[in-house]
Amino acid sequence: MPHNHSGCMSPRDYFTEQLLTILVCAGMGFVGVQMYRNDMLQHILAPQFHLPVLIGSIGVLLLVVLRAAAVWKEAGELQPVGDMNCDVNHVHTAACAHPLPGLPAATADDNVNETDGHTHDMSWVFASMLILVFPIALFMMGIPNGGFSIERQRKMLGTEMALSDPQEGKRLALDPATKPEPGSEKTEANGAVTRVLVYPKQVEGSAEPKLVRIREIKPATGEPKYIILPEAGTEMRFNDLADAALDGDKRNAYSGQTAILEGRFSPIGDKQFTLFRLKMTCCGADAVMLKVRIFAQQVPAHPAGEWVRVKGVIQFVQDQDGRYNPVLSVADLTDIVPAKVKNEYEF
Amino acid sequence: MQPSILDFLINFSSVLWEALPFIVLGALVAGVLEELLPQQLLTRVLPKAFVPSVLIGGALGLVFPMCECGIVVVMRRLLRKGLPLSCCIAYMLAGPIVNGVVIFSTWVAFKDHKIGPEMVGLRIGFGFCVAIITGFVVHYLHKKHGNDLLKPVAVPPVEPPAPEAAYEGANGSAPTNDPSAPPKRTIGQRLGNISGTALDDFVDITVFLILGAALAALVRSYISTAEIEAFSREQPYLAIPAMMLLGFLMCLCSEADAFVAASFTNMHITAKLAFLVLGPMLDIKLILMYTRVFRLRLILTIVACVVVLVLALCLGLYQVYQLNGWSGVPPGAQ
Repeated sequence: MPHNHSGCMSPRDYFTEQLLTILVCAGMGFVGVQMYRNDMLQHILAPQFHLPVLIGSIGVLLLVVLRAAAVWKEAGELQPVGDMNCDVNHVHTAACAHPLPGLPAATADDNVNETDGHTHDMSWVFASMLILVFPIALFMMGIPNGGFSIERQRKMLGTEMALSDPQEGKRLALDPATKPEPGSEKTEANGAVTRVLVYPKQVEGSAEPKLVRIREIKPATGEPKYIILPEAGTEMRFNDLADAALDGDKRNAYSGQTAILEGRFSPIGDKQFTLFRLKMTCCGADAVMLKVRIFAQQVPAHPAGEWVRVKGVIQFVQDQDGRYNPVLSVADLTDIVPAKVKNEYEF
Repeated sequence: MQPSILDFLINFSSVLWEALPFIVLGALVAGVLEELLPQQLLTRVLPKAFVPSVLIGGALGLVFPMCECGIVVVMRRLLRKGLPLSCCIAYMLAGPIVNGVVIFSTWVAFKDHKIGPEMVGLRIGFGFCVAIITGFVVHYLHKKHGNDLLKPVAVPPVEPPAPEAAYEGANGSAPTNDPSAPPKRTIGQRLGNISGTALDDFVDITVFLILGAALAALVRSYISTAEIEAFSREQPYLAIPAMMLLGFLMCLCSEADAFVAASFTNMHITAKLAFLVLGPMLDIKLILMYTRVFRLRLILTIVACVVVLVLALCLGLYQVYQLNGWSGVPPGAQ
């Protein structure tokens, strides 16, 4: 009764269809299990969906085993085809009202008036099996073996405008509470004089102010520059910074902290670049782009798309639409180093 | 291999393998229902009047959460067992939105934007409304056209099923060794039948899932969300239909789409809502899967109802926001 083949599908077609179904479904189940075992799923699915794929694939394999046993039994019970009074190979239709002798009687209870939606046209059977073989073939070719291409990721980034640097360092340095750090004054080879200034920043929930250190660079000619110096820093996630940008309280809490972030590199100008990484919620189709702007004195010459590790001081800067963007200010080029990252996606 | 082809294959594999466990679950449930649920039991249990039965269908997702891929497989068998079509449509459309998992994920996605409660409330409300109104429309359509709206596999058997004894008549012996099962069919036969239905349904739906996923991945190669965002910023009225189109093309799971909608930070709340209500009801792969249950006339009716209702509700809400002078974008972002 499961498949109302009670009409006039010839036993040969019936068993061909059943065997193909069993074979192809077993293939799908096997591929699912293998993709779980080889960790190929990490390129397309978020971790919480890996186990369901394994369970689903094992489920398919179990169904296949049950089905194979049933078909084996049916084949054993099959009578010779000779006493069939319909043409072999004719397509099952509602009009053909002769039950097929020899096929399992469980199908005989089906009302012959009901067809089951898919015409058991053998060409359709072969076509659908061919379609089902496609994912199996992809697995054999070793796909998926990586994340989205750099071209696509950069397209997802969209056109990026340079943000205007609000010069937080300058604002703090010019505050009357800022004092120079003794003994920090040095003269560089190019004639510039550098020293370190210390600004006592009041932190909520703590009596002691946090000391923000600012490097002042006075070139031989022109305006002095002020750069906030990073601390030891903690590894942060793109998600945290992106979420914080939406919330005034979180923006205040994060500003001035030192973050270490790993992502892909995309240059914008000579003093700014973007660090980006994809975020996946469930699967690759819902991947969205997370990005953090980096302000540096000079943009290193990495190829676009390369993984880098950046240490910098967090601030949030409004773009021309009034939207806050997370920004890391980098003091020295040595705080930007190439990195190796295991997974394309942040979850 | 060319990067663009690899991107296509990643998109395709993502949609396919994410949906697969749910299709297997759906197929298994379908097999069990087909074998064990007595014919017409549903008809006896559900209220006779169509209004309460549609309302129940719309809220059933809270009790039986199911995502949009698995639901299609199960629906086909439930229809066959005599579930009223209008109730089925209401459950099928509302189920992927009105359920605990999706409520939670929507809230999490918009929590940091400070619009979590509004988003969840509006999504559930609109989803429910669209589903039951479509259910009512389908009820009248069904009155007029009857089961011609359905593929034969979803139509309940015309005559009452043969008495149980008839099963045995031709099949012969096989002693029963499971006391809990009805004595007529052995557990082995039942398992054989369940696996048969389940595998048939699995193959039938997966074929169309694969075609749908391939089509969706192909479309995805040519659109980028950045373009849509830029476009809808310039044309606020077109943002709603644009996001509906995006929801149709992207084929996302209803558990995940809220995060994608949330990534359009500066977009108006009504446009995000249009994306979140339409996406779980209609998308490329779902339309292809619907063809395995419904005939063209019914599919066109569902599409027309859902599109018109979502558009009307979201545009109406947009007017409400405009008249009250509410900004409609996350408060923290500005």
